[in-house]
Amino acid sequence: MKFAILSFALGSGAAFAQTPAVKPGTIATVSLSATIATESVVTQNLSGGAKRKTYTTGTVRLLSRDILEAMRTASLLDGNIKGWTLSRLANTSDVGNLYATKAGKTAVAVPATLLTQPVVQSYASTGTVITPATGAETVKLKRQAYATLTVRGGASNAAGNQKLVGGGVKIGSQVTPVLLRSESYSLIGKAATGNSVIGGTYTTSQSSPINLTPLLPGATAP
Amino acid sequence: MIATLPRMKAHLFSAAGVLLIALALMPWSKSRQGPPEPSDPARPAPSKSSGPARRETPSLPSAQEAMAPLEPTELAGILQRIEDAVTSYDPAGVKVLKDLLLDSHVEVRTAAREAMVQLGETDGIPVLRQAATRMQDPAEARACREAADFLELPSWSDTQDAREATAELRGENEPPPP
Repeated sequence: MKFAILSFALGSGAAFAQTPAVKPGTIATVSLSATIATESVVTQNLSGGAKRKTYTTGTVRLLSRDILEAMRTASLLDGNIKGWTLSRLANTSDVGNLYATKAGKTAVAVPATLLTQPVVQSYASTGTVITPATGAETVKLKRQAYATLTVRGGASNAAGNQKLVGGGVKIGSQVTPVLLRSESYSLIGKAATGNSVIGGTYTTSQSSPINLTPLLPGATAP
Repeated sequence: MIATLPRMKAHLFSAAGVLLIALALMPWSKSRQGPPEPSDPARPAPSKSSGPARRETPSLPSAQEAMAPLEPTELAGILQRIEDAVTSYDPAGVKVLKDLLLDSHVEVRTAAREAMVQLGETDGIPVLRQAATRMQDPAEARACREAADFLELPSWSDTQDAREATAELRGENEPPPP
């Protein structure tokens, strides 16, 4: 009996001594606000064999909410978009991707056929990067940036600004350096099919340090 | 001559009496005196109230009258309320953002306006247009009107393209046939 109690105590103590896996990273809210103008044409036969084509343009709005709604309709979310946010999750080096996130739920990657994140093709920076003899860099940069992305499968160009600032994720007693980013772009592009023009803005809030494990359990990396 | 003296004295006493009575009545009559006639050039037009001038409708402070900047924790709390309103994706979120559209701090007004767009509820259209009429900064008023114009557009989620997009996704997510 005493041996059984001791074994149970040792087992419980061993279980409590294990710490959950931590995955330092960052999270930022993505705000997409765009219009999609699509051309339609009606051909009318006129007398004498002539034809008249009448062109009209219909415009709709596209928001982060619509991306989440498409994911919900495709059964990728939990059946309701309430509480879900379009976010960018990244590791400590700011390598990341777009996800639908909700507290208490595993993050769901945004399908590339809906939206991809801007990929910077060229930039011009202002600021400082201090590299100490030992330890992490201290980054404080503002960038004018040109980037490319896809919206509804169509190629788009983005022009705007990035801000990169060094920060830290404190999990327990350990602080891990991370790179915090915010972006603001004007975008212009086309749809994958048909004659459409997409225009609007793509912005991310200043990213915050976070432990990514609850959102990306296991070995999943952003 | 001698016979007129008593008559003169009587007249003098009468005149003095009238003068005294007039002097006595003067303060009382002044207190009962109403506002001067508008056509009276000698006096300026009276104010409607005796107290300091009051505005009928509250308006946002001008740049010179700007409130003290928000404490970081207070701003963070307001931004969290804004984010919660957006992620409700419900018309009730419009009510939360409505009051913040006219906050005395420009960063709160800006965040609330952008949140109203991201919320995507058409109930926000009249709210934004009304807020535009009460903005002192023409740029903010224009931004509110443009946000209202944007929300008036049909949503992409209601289009055939959206239905095709979700059908593609469902096809990708379905397991392959055995």
